Amino acid sequence: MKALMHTFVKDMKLATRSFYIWIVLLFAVIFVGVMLFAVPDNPSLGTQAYVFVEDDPLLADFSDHLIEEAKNTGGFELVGSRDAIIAAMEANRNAKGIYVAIRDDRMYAEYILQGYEGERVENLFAAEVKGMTAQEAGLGVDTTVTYLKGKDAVKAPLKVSLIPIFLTMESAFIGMFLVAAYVFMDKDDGTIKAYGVSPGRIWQYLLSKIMMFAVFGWLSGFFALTVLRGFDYNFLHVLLLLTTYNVFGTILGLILAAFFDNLQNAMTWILLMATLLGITTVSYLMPSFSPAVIRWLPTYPMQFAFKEAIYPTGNAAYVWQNILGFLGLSVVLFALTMGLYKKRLSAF
Amino acid sequence: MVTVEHLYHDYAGKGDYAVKDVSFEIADGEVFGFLGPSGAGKSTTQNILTGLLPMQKGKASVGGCDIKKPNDQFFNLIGVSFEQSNVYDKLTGLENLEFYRSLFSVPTMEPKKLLDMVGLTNAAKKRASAYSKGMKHRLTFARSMINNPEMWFLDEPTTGLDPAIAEAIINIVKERNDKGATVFLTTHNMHVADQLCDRVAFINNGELLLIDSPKNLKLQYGQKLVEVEYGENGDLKKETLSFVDEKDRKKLGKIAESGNVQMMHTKEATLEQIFITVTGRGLV
Repeated sequence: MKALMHTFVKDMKLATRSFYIWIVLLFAVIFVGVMLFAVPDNPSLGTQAYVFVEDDPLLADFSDHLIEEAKNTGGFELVGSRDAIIAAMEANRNAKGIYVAIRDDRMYAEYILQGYEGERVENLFAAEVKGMTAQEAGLGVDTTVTYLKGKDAVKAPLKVSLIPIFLTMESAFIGMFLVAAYVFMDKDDGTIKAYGVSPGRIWQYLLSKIMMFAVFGWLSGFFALTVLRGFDYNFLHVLLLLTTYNVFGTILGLILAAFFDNLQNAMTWILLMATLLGITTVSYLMPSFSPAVIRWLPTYPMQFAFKEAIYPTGNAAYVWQNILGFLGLSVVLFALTMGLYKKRLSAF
Repeated sequence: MVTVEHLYHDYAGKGDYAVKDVSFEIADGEVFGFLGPSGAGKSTTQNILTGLLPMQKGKASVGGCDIKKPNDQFFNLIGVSFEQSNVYDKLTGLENLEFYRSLFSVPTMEPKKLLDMVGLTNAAKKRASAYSKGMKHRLTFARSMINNPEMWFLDEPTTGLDPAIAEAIINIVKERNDKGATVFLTTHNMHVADQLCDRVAFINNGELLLIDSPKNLKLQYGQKLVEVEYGENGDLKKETLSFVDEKDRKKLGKIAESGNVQMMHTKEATLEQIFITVTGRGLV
């Protein structure tokens, strides 16, 4: 344990005396700055309402009027079914929907809302739709409201929605992208060989690096989170997620570093992995696009688990599944990594 | 202290052995020189003996520890000075030694004292990145003795050092050897091997060719001749005389009696010449 702590202190000294870590921490500051001063809370994402009108003679005039209106104002988009409204709203979390049909010779209008809009927006929207439909059709109107995510669902502002991406790609995976640089530094210096003939053990060498990146992950993650969100999140969940994901990411980086002699040779693979892991961001922002191949990538559940930890919706089990799952995976991969480094030590 | 029996090592696993059937023993307190050209198998043997390479075939023990499963006791027992300096550039000389010291569970030497021994006191608080090649080499050497190793592996300990510092390093090795340290010395420098080694081993193409003391090798392979330069009737003369031939011996006695000897060299073989004789190739 004493040797592990000394190795950790040595690694922290080496890290703070090289520029990689400062770049990462600087990036955290830039991210926070951009989020604070450049990204609006809820930017308009284009079309705000999706409309479907059933094919009924009583609604023909109303339908023609809507088509004309859509052409002129572009404020809403006509779609082909009620299901299409739902799908479009899943993809665009800012959108609302209107479904119009005839029931018992009366106009039936269903206002489909996400659930987070609040009473004021809901009333305004209802009044707007009611006026529009009643005038044109000359019919009595029955209305109902459907909430896609349940009434009083909480909608994270865009800023908060982006934090899980930052936590995953930078705070959690800081080790994966950087540990290789530090291992290559040890290889270049030959210090890994000197360590190999000392009583210091390989598991201590690896664990020390994992601990170091966990610390930098905490620094970067909690800095961004605290500035952008204050203390309004589940601290324990975020701490455990940051730690387990960081450990997992650093171990992946260590495995990668074992197979290459220098950073240049490893760079192609590091960039490939970064791209692959980054793809899940698309699915995170547009849940309607979530093919199985993306859902299997580790960063996919990570982003949603972070979101749950920051903006709890009562699905704590999902967070714990992630923590325990990635912890188990990390233990297995760590054993594998130890074997790999023991075997390849003389090649370093 | 060291026992090696029928050691083999094959990097690619295709029967192309870097070390073939190498066996030797090193007694406690002995300085054992391992001589051979690049690629002869010196580093492979040393890497196996220091636990950097896994043991594939054969048996070896160092200080009673089986090399197949090197443990804490083994790593606390050995010290290794590498040919290529390998210190943390971003740490100072002192920090390098303090970190390395913290890994051992046996009594260790004071880092400041070690730096003083190798002439780095004034550079103790400078980062190693600011050190010259020679200074880094001295730091690597100093680090290798921090745990007072009973078994000390030295790979080219004087390479790249100026003569005065090299002499100081040789004296440190002698001093520690006098105190009981066993030394496994790998070097191209025959002068250093000659100065330090009790016995030397020649290795070539992975095979151990001979093991003996430098003195015995010189007696066995050297010529019993003496080259003498002397003055006679105002002229400077040069002759090579045999110790075996009686006529030459008498002449040598006369020259010595005359008191006109300018220079006299015995024509004993150097270790390098013996190596070339034995292997048919040079040491480089």
